[in-house]
Amino acid sequence: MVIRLNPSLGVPIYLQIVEQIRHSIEIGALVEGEQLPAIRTLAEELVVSPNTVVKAYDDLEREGLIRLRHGAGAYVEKSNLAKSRLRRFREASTVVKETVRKLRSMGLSDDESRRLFEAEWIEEVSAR
Amino acid sequence: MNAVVETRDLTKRFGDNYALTGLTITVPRGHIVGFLGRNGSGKTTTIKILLDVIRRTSGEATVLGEPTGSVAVRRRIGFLGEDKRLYSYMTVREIIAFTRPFFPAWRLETETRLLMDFELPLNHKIGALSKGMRTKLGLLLNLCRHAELLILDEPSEGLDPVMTEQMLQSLVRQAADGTTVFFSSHQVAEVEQIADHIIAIEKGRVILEGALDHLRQRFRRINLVFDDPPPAEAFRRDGVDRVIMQGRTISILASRNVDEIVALGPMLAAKSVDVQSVGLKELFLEKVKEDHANS
Amino acid sequence: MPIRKVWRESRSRFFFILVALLLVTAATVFYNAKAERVVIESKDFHAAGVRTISGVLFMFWSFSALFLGLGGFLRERAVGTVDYTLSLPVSRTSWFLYRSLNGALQSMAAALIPALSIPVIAALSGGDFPVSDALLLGLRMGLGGMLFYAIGLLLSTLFAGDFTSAGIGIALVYAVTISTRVIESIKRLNLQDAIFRPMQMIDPHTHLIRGPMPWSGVALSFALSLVLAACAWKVTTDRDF
Repeated sequence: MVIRLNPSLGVPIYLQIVEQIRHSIEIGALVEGEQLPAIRTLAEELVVSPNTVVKAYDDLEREGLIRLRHGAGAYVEKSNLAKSRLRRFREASTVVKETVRKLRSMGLSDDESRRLFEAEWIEEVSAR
Repeated sequence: MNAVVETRDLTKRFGDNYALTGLTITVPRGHIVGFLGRNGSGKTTTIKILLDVIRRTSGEATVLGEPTGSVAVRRRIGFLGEDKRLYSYMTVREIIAFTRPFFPAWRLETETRLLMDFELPLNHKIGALSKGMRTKLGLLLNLCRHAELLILDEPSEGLDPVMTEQMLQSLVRQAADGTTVFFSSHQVAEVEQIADHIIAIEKGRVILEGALDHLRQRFRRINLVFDDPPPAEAFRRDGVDRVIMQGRTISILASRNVDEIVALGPMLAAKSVDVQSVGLKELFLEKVKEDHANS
Repeated sequence: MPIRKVWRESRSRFFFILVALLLVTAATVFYNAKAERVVIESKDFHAAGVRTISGVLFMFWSFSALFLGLGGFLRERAVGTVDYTLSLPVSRTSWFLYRSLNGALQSMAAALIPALSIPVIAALSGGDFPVSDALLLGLRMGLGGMLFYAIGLLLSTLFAGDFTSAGIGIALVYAVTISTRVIESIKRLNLQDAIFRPMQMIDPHTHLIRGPMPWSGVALSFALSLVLAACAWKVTTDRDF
């Protein structure tokens, strides 16, 4: 598993870690039952605060992607959740494809569509 | 105790010049805290007051719950100064043997491991060491203490990128062991990388502070483009920190109520609305400008 | 242990001074012996020895004592190590006590050892100079002259540059020595006899020390040095570094 971080992006580092680990699981770079690096090991390797790694692992555990076993490390969860997520992802990509096609047919440029989505997401994040 | 360092209205005057003008900060336990500020903003002054090297003019400051100046507390903390100078007349072995007895939590395994990792020549006089070696020695003398709090003043100053990375790594390792790391820096990049909490100061006062992730998620830059831009007053709203007029584009730095501010766009007939996240460097620079504009 | 650092940083300076004073003492003893037209064969080292202690040795020693008082936090600030030292769990008062006691003992040693070398030199040349005399004269110089050490100590807390402190110190040493000889009121305090004029105390026939040691003068001078040291302590604990 290779993680590359960009601290100056404005995207929280822990989210970048979450996304990259999730991606690794989805493409099979990390398989069920495989052990993830210990929090302090990953923190040292990425040279980021251990709290950041803790946050990332907590998020991943909440999503059901990994399981933290007390004192015994973090493991990729063997569950259908990962598989079903892959399935959901494929379905979502179909939805996106259709929506993009529809927006284009309405005469909107890609930039305009993108801004509409971002405004919608910001609203969602702030409402959460 | 949740705060390892607390100051309240801390002031320091040098002659006619006020280096600190009512500084109130809290350094939370168990975090890596970046103390960010420009040159001359008061970072070193604050740290020297915490170590009782200089005395405050007014206000309060405590370290690990005790007032600054407590000798007992210094047994539980580590300090690496910007100068990174040590007693040039001692050898590496001598200064380690000299420092060791002061700290009850000193671990010999750490000492042995670091001596090997850092490749420090035990019998060389400190005066003959390079700056990189001296920094490693200074780090060793601090890391072996397994202190509750590590205070560092510009730790990467004068270090090459490889040494900087090594140093940041050892700080992360200490943090994983439970040490709170409080380091000052004027380099945003390294703060962004390892700090999970920041305190930014300008002219002896706090201009920005909080958990770094929280700040990243809170602040947004909203760019609105108009054919006929409304005046800045139209955007005075709760959460709007700064409004910059750039021709037909109005750039807003928002710390709250982002959706409400974004909604102003269509309300005021904006041609386009663009929302971006804000990096620490940009955020810090904006806050400095805001501070100057307000004073 | 703090004493380790305090000793290590003053070690070279102390040994240099000690060796220099020993050489000066030896050379002067022989010079004085010849000048008195008392050749070594006559074995009379008395006058030579005493004159050496009171004159040359004292002069060099008083400046040495001054220099032994220099150093401290101000110098560490100039060199860049003061933050490290002050961040250690040792109070400023402790550091001050260690430094001042270390320097005072070194000053005393720098007075006694050369003084005590005179009987050795005399004996090696077949002559005689009572050890007790050497001890007494050396003690008197060391205790009474602690004032010079204290001046150095106080100056080191006020001025950062060693040269500044040394320059002012040398001027003060001269001022002190001259005033004890010249100014009436100070003359009466017996300070001068306390430190400077042992010749009067030697009986010319028996070559033994006669009369009581001017301990009151020595005590007064020593007391003054304690006052100066206390001032140095106050400055050290109060100021910013």
